[in-house]
Amino acid sequence: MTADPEGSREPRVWGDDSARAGGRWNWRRVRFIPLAAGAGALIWGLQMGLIRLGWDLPGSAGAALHGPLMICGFLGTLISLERAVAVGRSWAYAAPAACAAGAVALATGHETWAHAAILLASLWLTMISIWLCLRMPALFAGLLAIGAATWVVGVILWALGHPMTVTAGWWLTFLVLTITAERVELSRVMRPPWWTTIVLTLGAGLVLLGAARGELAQSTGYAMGAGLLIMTLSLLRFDVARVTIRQRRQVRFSAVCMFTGYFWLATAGLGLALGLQASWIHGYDAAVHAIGIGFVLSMVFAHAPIILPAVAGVRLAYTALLYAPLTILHASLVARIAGDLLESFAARKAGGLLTAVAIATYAIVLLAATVWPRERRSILPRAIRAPAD
Amino acid sequence: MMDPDIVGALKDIVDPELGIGIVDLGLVYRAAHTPAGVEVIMTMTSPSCPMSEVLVAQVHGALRRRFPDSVHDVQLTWEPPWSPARITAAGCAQLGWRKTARADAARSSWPARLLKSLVRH
Repeated sequence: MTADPEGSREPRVWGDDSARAGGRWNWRRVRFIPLAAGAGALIWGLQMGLIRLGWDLPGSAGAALHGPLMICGFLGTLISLERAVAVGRSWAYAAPAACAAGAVALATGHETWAHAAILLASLWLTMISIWLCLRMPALFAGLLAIGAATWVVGVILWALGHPMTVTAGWWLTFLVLTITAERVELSRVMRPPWWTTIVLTLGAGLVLLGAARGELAQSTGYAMGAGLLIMTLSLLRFDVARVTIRQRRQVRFSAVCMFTGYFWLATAGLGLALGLQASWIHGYDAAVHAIGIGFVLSMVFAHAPIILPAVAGVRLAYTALLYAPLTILHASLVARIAGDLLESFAARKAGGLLTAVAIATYAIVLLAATVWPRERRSILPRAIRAPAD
Repeated sequence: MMDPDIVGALKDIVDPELGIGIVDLGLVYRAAHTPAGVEVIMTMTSPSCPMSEVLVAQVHGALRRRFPDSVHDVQLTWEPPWSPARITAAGCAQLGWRKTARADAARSSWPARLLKSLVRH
């Protein structure tokens, strides 16, 4: 065993942390409530998205809430819950609780209550993130706090009635900075050189500038596009996924999801930097969904089997069949962006449906792999047995 | 203090995101037999990581299997904070870099190195 390279500092255990070490198992069941609300927001948000693409489904009055449901109701709840679990203090759970309440309010048509609840959730998450930053000052902690603050800005703009094209820029910045922070935190094991701090800070700053300028809806997206490109290239160079892709099973699957996500993030950055969101009629749709589906949902696919057990205490089993919904997800985005580029309504409509199919398939495959473990899978016909990974 | 028996019991506990053991990552600060039983003090790579409950539970489970007749005390700490310098040589090998004093020095803070280079010149 290598000697402690940092000298003989004795570890100090704080009261709250040592109590947490024993595990408060009974509280984990309560976490199912915000998880269920988040899942409900995801399903309802997908339905609203399909309605916006022209599918004839019930609930058309709420179609404009697709963005808030997906970003605030689903992803906001998930991120808040993850952070609350990390903090391990009961006060931290106010964020996911408020977000879950906001998601329910959104889905039931109480928009004013939803504004208030989600604003509270975003403010609480920002406070939690600042607390974490003070506990361990580091680039990733700073990015988490700034990301949470951009969620607050977006919610305020949404509540004040600003166009969704402007609000979406802030909300996507929240997601991009949050995920980037988590990757930077993990990738510290790669010991990146000191100048990556400067590069990532520059990239984050440019993305923030782009959000502030409302570049998603403008004719030029130089700042946001350049910022996304800079961050993606830096992450690609030093992400630990470069190592973990050589591992097996779940770890490799996560790495594959990461790289496909980076591809779409870079594509969105390049498109924005070239001002393509203005030259295509549906350029805004392409940019938003390249980031939201290609990058963010890829990350969700990568981490759900890891985070759900941590957050909800459920045991999930990995299966190589998960590559199927991942493939469908990216195929759906290709179809959608091709439809945006070629102004093909049918391709956009099909792409949207395929995205919903990908998410549903992912959930079903994960559940099936958990409920039906490998040793009993031999009764399946050979054609649909899981391929060896 | 790192008792080899206790460390051996924890060797198979893996960080699920990195696929590397918590011992190789340097997350275990102390593993010792005490008059009360078995004591493990560990940390996570950062306070924002939600995996602490799961990993602590796995440590409890591993200790129960290895030392069924002992009382186990598993504590989580953030002092001193974890850093990549704590990764063991085996962990470094899995990550594809060699752990040497020179590698550690090359990653020291840039203000310190800048100052040293200015003084040298």
